[in-house]
Amino acid sequence: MAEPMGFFTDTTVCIGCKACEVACKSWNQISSTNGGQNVLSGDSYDNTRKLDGEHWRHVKFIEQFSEDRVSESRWLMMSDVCKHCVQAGCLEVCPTGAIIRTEFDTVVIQQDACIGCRACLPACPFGVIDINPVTHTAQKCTLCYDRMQVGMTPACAQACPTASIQFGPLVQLRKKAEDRVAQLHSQGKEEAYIYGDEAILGGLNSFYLLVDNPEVYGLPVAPKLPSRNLWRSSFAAAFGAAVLGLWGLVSLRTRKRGAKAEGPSSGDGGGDGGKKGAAP
Amino acid sequence: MRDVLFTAPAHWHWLIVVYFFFGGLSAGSYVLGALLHLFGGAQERPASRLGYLVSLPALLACPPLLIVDLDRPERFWHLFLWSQRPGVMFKWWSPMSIGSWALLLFGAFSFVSFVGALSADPWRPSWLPERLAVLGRGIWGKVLAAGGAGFAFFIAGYTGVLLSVTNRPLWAETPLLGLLFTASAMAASAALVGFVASRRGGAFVPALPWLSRMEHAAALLELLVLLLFLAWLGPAVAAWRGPYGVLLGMAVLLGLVAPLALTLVRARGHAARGRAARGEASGAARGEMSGEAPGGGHEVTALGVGLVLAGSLALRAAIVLASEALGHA
Ligand code: SF4
Repeated sequence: MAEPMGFFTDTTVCIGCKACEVACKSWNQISSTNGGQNVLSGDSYDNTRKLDGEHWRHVKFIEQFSEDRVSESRWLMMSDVCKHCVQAGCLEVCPTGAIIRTEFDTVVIQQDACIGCRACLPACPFGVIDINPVTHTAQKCTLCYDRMQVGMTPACAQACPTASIQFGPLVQLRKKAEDRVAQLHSQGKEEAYIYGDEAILGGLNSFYLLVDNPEVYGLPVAPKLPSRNLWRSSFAAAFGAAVLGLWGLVSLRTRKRGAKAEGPSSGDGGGDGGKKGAAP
Repeated sequence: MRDVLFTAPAHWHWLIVVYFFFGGLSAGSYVLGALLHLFGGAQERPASRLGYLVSLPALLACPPLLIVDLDRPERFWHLFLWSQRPGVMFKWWSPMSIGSWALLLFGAFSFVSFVGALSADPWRPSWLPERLAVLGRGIWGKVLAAGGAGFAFFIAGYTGVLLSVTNRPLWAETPLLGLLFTASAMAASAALVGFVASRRGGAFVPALPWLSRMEHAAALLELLVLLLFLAWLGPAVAAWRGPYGVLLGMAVLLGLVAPLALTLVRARGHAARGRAARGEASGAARGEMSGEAPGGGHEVTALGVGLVLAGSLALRAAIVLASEALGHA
């Protein structure tokens, strides 16, 4: 296996130019039809709105303004993407083996295998995947698997003018990120921290430097694997089956005995367990 | 904010809801048939076969619904075989993978039991050889019933597990959905099989009291689990404020409260008439009474079964669609 590769996205230097989105779309030849709809957010300068089958990079604008737009005004930007989780929920539930882990420790949906069952959509803790309306398959960032295989940098990282998106071997990226956090702390920006270390799903191979709570950026605080529910949910269902099955068994058995003990009250008793209400 | 609210919906809508409904009916009917077959008496064999006869037609609705719901329907076989190399595709930890296989295998059980039952039924079409009835007889028939019932219970419950093994609001926040769907499937199937048995009368009548008790037991379990489910969710229950709450209300009123009330009223009436017949009434009146209610007042009316089935469908719709409406669109 090649070295694990990933993205380190430093949100503090993102300027919201969306060059990464454009580069991603043009390299991966993703349509910009929005399924034929002209979709505007209507309440934000950000009209990409979310990650989906046609948007594998999404620069989130976190616009925090008070009514007068003066007393409070803050604009955070974050170029969001698939996290290429070390423990990936999407990969776990995929019933066809279409979602694979590559030699670079990234997560890729093989387009020729995907059947569009959409099991991975609700499984991803970050809501990254959606159906591409052109191919009718589930799509998301591949971390430019094709470029990586020939030693190229993914399109978004290549295009990013501020080095907010950095690409490289994970070991180096983690080190860089640590240094950056230390640098920000020394400058008095105590709130800077890394989102996506080993504590989250075994580590996010695409991780972030944030300066506020994850929720502010639309990220879950403690993302989990879907399989955490597999056993407890199955046991509950099996319990229900056992209760109803046993109840059926016991009620059939006792009814037969009861009917026998009662005797042929209506004169038609005979046979194996004559019924109380049976027609003569 | 709850972590589950940062996730995307699966776009599982009515096709999936209707699949859950038919899958539950097919599974529940098979289980009822198998229970009557394995533990019932000889006079309940016709009703047991009725369970198998209901199971397969309900099951046949499922594959088309599931395949049409895929965005690439022509690739549905990727669920069973690797698409890029020879080999069998099976992931036991993926509910959809194991569910696809279970549906296939349960289909085989349901089919064989159906053929065995139809061959022994008064409705046997003339082209179906009567000797195929051996498929449902003897030790072989019992082994088939036991195996099929196992798969049937799996089909009844796995759909709930499938919803829970995600990161979605409501679904992933409780482990109770598989249990809830199992109970609901059993209640709806008992009503359906009871209804068909009531309509056909005669040899199918002796099982009616048991089917009715089974329906009530399952409905009671369903009600308890539903209450526990809502309590478990806590403030998340707010998702049912609005149209989906109406569906949930329908599920409870139509599927649980109304049928229980209906049978209670009829059981009262039956008991009162029985008392009257046993007491002062003449022998003639007594004969009339027993002639009126051969199933001991346990017949399922069209209204009764309609309510329960509508409730069962509404329950699945309320749970699937309420969650689908949350999170980023
Ligand atoms: S972020 Fe979502 S889509 Fe990306 S690897 Fe993790 S679970 Fe899969």
